[in-house]
Amino acid sequence: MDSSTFHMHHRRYKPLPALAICWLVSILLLLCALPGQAEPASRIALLLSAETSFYEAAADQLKQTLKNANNPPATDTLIVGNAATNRLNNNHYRLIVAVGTSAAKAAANHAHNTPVLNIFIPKSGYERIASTLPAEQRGQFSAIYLDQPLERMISLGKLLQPDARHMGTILGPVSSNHLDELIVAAEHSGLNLHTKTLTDGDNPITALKPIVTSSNFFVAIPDQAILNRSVAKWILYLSYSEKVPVIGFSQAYTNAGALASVFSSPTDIGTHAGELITRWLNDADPDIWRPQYTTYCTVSTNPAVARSLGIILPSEKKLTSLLKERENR
Amino acid sequence: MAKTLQTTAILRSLLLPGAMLVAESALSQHDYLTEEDVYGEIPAVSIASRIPQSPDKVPASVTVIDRELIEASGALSWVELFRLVPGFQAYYVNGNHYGISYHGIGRGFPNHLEAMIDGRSAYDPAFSTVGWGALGLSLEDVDHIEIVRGSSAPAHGSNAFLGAVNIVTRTPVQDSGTRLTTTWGDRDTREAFLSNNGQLGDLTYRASISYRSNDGFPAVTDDPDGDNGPLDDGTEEISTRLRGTYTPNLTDIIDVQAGFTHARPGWGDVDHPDEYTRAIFDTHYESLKWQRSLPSGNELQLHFYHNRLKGENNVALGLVSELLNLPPAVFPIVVSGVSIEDQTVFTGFRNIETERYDIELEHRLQLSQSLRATWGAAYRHETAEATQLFSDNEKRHLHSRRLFGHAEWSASPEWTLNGGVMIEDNNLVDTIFSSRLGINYHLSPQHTLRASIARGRRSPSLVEAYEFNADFLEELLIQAIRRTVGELEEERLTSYELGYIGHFPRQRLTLDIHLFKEQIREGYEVFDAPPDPGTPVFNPNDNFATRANNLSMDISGVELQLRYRPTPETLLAAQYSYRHVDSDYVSLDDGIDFRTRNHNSRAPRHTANLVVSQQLTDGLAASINIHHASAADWRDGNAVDEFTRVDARLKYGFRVGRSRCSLSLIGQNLGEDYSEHGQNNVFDTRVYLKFEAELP
Repeated sequence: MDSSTFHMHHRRYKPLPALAICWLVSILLLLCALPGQAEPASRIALLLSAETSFYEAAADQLKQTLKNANNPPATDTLIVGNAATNRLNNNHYRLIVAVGTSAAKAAANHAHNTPVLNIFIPKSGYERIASTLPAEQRGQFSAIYLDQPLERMISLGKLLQPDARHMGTILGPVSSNHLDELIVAAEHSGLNLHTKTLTDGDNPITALKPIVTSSNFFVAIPDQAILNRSVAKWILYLSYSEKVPVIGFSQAYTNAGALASVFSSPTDIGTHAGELITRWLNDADPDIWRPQYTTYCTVSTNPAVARSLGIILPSEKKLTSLLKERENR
Repeated sequence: MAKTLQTTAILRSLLLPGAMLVAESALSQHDYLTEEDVYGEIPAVSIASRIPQSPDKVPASVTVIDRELIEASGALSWVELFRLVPGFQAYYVNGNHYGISYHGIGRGFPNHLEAMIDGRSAYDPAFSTVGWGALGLSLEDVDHIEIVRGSSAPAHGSNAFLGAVNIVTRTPVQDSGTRLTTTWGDRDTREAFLSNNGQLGDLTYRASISYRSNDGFPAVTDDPDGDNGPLDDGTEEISTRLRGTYTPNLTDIIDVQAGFTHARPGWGDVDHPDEYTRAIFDTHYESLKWQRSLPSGNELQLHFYHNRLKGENNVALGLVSELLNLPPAVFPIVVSGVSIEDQTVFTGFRNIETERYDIELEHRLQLSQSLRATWGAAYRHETAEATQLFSDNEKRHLHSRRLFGHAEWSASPEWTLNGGVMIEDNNLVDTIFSSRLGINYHLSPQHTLRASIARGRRSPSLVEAYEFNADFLEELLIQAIRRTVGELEEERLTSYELGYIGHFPRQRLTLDIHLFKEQIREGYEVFDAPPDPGTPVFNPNDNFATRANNLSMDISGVELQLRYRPTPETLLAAQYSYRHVDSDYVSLDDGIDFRTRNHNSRAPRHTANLVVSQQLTDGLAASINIHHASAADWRDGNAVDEFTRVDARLKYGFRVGRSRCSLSLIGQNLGEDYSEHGQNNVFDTRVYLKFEAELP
C-alpha cells in the first residue's frame, strides 16, 4: 500500500468520542465476565507458567486431545503473573491444569476450592508444593510428572546394552532422595549399582571415574540444573573415554553426547493429561487424583555417539515402542 | 545436532546456556526440581564425530571441522585441513611454511586471520601472522576446529580482522591410556606422536610429544629463468605439550597448559631455490584458565597466558672482500663517504624474540529468558626484538586493553538479534571500535535466513608499526628491503553478509550459503619509495618497499558448505567458494614516478573441496578428498595454474589384545604434478603409511 492510499482511507473515519470508547470498553468487560458466572463449573483453565513454547505446546496438545471427548469442555488459557490468578478461586472453573512449577505454586496459593492437575512439573517439585497444602486440598491436587520413573531409564539402558551387569549413576542433593527407589530398580533389572552422592565440595572427576570405569552403562539422573550442567561434561567425557554409553534425561542430553535419552515431550504430557481429563469428565474416573508419571515418553538417540561406541541403534520410534512393551510386561 | 561451543568459543554470543523455560531463581537453594532442571541446557562436549551446533542463531558464518572430518580428509598438514573451509586460502609458501587466510591474497605472512588454541592467540607480533609451520600442535591433539568466516574483530580484536579460528584440543578427561601414531612416506617424511592420559592425585592430565621431519618440495631443475637449486625447505620439529584439568569442586574448573617446540625449518623464497637457509625456532607457552559456574546459570572465566618465540636465522655470506672480489689489502674502502672495513656479511632474519602476556576476564550472563550477554575486559603486553626487521636490538612494546560486550536477544521464535562491540586501546593507534549487528530470521526450526553487518578495525602489529628492514655495512645502506614511514593508522573494514542455513533432517543434510561483500579501506600495502634523503647508499636506485595505509579492496562473492550423511557409514562434506576482488594500491612513488596496481587476480576465483568417506566393513574405511583451485597470481609467490588434486585414504582397523590399532595408506595428489603458490613448489604424488595404536 502506498502512502497516499493509506491517508485516503484514514480520512474516511471520524475519531470516536472518548465517552463512546469508555462505554464500549465497559460493555466488553462485562461480557467477558459473564460466561464464568452463568456456568460456573463447565470450563477448564490452563494456567501456564509463562508464554513459552514448551508450556504452550503442552497446552495445545492437551486441548487437541480434549477435542476427542464426547462433550469437549471449553478452556481458558491464563498466564501466571498476568493478574488473572484471582479468577482461579471462587469456582470459576471445574478444573485447573497448572503447567509448570510457577503455575503449580499459583494454583496452590489461589485455587483453594477448585481441583488442580499439575503437569510439566518434576515429581520432587510437586511433592514439595503438595506437602504445604491442607489435606482436603491435597486430595484434589494431582500431577503428571515431567521426569521419568527410574525403571524406565534403566530399562532403556538394558535395551541398548542387553548383556549389561553393572550400571552407574551419580546423585545430587535432590536425586539422592530416590536412592532406595534406585536400588530396587537396579536389583529388579538384575544390575549391580555403582553410585555416589555428590556434594558441593566434591571433585566430580575423581568421584565419577571409578563409577564409570566399573559400569556397562551410565544413567544420568536429573538434579538441580547447575549440577546437571557442571557434571554432564565430565560424565560424557569420561564415559566416552571408557566407551561406556550414557542414558540421558532430555533432548539436550542426547545432543550433548548421550547415546540415548528418554523424556516426556510437551506432546507426550499434553496427550496423557488430555486423556486423563477426558476419562474424568466422562465417568469421574478418580485415577486423575493419583499423582503419576507419564505413560507416554520419547526416546532420542545420537547416531554419531553410537558409531563411535560401535553400537547399532534401532530407530527412535522402535526404541520407544520396545520400552513401552517392556513396561507393559 | 546442537552443541554449545565451549571454552573461549569462537563466538562469544554462543557461550551461554539458554534457559527456555521460566527459571526459578537461586536454583541451588532448592531441595526439589523444577522443569528448568529437567529440560535445561546441557553444555555439549565434543565426542568423536559429532556434528557441531547448527549455527542458526549466530550472526556470522561458522564452520566446524570435527575429528571425523579431520581423519576422513587424510590431512597431514594444516593446509589440507583449511582447504575444507569455504573462502579460505591455504597454501604452501614452501614445504613447511604455510599461508592460511580467509579471503587472503596469498601473502607469505597473511596477517588478517586470528588463530587461537583453546582461546590462546597463536598470532605472532613480529611475523604478523600465525606460525602454522611450527605451531607445536599435532593434528592428533586436535578435537575440533571452530572457524568464523568473516570479521571477528568485534569478538576477538584486531588480528581477527577477516576471520578467526579456535583450535580446541582434546581434554585430558576425554581419552584414557596411551596413544601412539607414526607416519612414514615420501619426501622423507617421518612423523611420530605419543600421548598419555592419566591421573596424578586430583589432577587429570594429558601429556604428548610429537616429532616430524620431511624434505619439503623436490629440488628445482627446470626453471626457465635458470633459478634452479636444492629448495632446502625441509624441516625437523619436536614438540611437547602438557594439559591438566583440576576440578576442586562442582563449580570450578582449572585448566593448565604448557608446551615447548623446537623447529628447524628451511627458510627462503620460492623464486630463489638456491638461497634457502636454516632457521631455528624455539617457542613455549603457559596458559591458566579458571572457570566458575554461578548458581544462577551465569559463568565467570579468567584466562591468563604467556607465549614466547625465539627465532634465529643468521647466515654468514662471507667477507666483503670475497663478495666484491677485492683483495683484503684495499680495505678500508670508502663508499658514498662511508669507510668500510673488511668484515663478515650476514643475511637472514637474524634474531627474533617475541613475547606476549594476556589476561582476560569474561562474564557470561543470562539476563532474561530471551536475552543473554557476555562482557569482558582484557590486558595484553607484547614485546618484539628483531635484529633484521628493526635494524637494531631494541625491544618494542605493545600495551593493549580490550573491553567487549555481546548480546543475543531471541525476540520471538522467528527472530534472533545479535549485537557486539569491541573497544581496543593501545600505544600504536587511537582507540578503535569494532562492532557487529546481526539479525536472523528463522523461517522454521530447520531454515534460517541471516543478515549482518560488521565493522572491523585493525591495529598494526609491532613489526608493521616499526619495521625498518635493511642491510647495512656500517652506515652504508647496501640493501633496502621494507619499512614503515611515519605512523600507521588502523585498517578499516565494513562487511555485509546474507546467509541461509538449512537442516534437512530426513535427508541428514545441512546446507549453509553465504553471500558477502567486504570493503577494506586504509589497508596496509607497500609501495616502492627511495630511502630518506642523505642516507649513504650503495645502490642509488635502491627503493624500500614502504608500508602505508594505501590499500583499498572490495571482496565479494558466495560460499557454500554442505554436509550430508546418507547412511551412518557414509559422510560427504563439500565446500565451494567464488570471489571477486576489486582493489587498488600505490605501488611506486619515488617522487618522479607514481604507479598503482591491484590484487584482482591474487588468489583463485573458484575453490572447491569434496570429501567422501565410507565405512566399508567393521574394520575397513575409505575416503577420498578432492580439491580444486582456479589459477592465481599469488602475492609473495607467483602465477600458478589451476589444479585439481585428489587424495585418497584406506584405513584398516584391528585389535591386538585390548589395544585398538589401525593402518592407513594415504595417497596425496594421485594425478599430475601441480605448483603450490609458486612455480617452483612442485607437489608430486606422495604416498604415506600411518600406524596408530591405542593402549589401554
